Amino acid sequence: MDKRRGRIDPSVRADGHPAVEELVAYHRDELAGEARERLQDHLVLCKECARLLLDLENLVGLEPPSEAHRLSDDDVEEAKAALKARIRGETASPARLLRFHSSPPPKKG
Amino acid sequence: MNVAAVERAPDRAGGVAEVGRDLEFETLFERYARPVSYFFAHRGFSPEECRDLTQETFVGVYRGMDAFRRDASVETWLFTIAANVWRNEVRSRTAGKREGREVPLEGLAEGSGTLLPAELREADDPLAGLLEEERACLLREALGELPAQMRRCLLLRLDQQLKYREIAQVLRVSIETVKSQLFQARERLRHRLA
Repeated sequence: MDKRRGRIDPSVRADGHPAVEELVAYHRDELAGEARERLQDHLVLCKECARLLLDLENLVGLEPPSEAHRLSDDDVEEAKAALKARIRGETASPARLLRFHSSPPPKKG
Repeated sequence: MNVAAVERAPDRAGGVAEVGRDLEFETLFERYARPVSYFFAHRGFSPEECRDLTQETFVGVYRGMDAFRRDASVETWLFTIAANVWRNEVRSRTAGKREGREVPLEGLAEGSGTLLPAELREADDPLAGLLEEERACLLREALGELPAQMRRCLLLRLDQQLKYREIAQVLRVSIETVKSQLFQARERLRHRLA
């Protein structure tokens, strides 16, 4: 049985929202009793957390809200190259590393 | 840390075997870069910001591969990292506009009249005069008298305007349960406010 089950005081954050991990636990049916009831009451009143939970339920099926946000295969490839470059070159400038489309991966050495 | 290490990482992270024993980090990115990016897009970020936040998420994925739990799904794990990246980003911004906000129960009946769906806003419906303060008070009282789950279903429908399927997902119940609860709630409110 999960340790979270029946826990009364989950990791509610200072801003009043439950921690992401708490939402995930709810999604995984690991919350019960008062903790579950309280989280549901929060979801009813908090559009932000309800939407977060719905995205958790449907993450793989998410579609972009606009065509400008849609990633092409080339976009994904470029982003992947930039990611690998960042992991490879932790010391490089963050600003440069985050510009997927304008900066080629830094050369090794 | 080097590219070779990145390419070996899946071998060290047994939990990633959930989507394939020999899944590589690159494969993980190729498979989930879009939904993660769209997750940020739905929260009002520009395409450029989405790409930055997606990268941040996958850096977290890379760093956390060793600790990935075998009993968790890859999607749930990715979501946890992405959602925390999002919250950290929001926190770092000053009074940024966000899609969602907390809606206090007290404000339920004081809105623009869009709180009730069409089925509850029929011309001859006693709830049609919701905007009148007296009725708003009555509605709040009536809502408070509903069983908890019924009230939750109703508020998610009226206030957040979620679809039945979405309400079911939020409350972890079946769609049939949602329909039944909403029907009963409507009948009780009709009777209470008539």
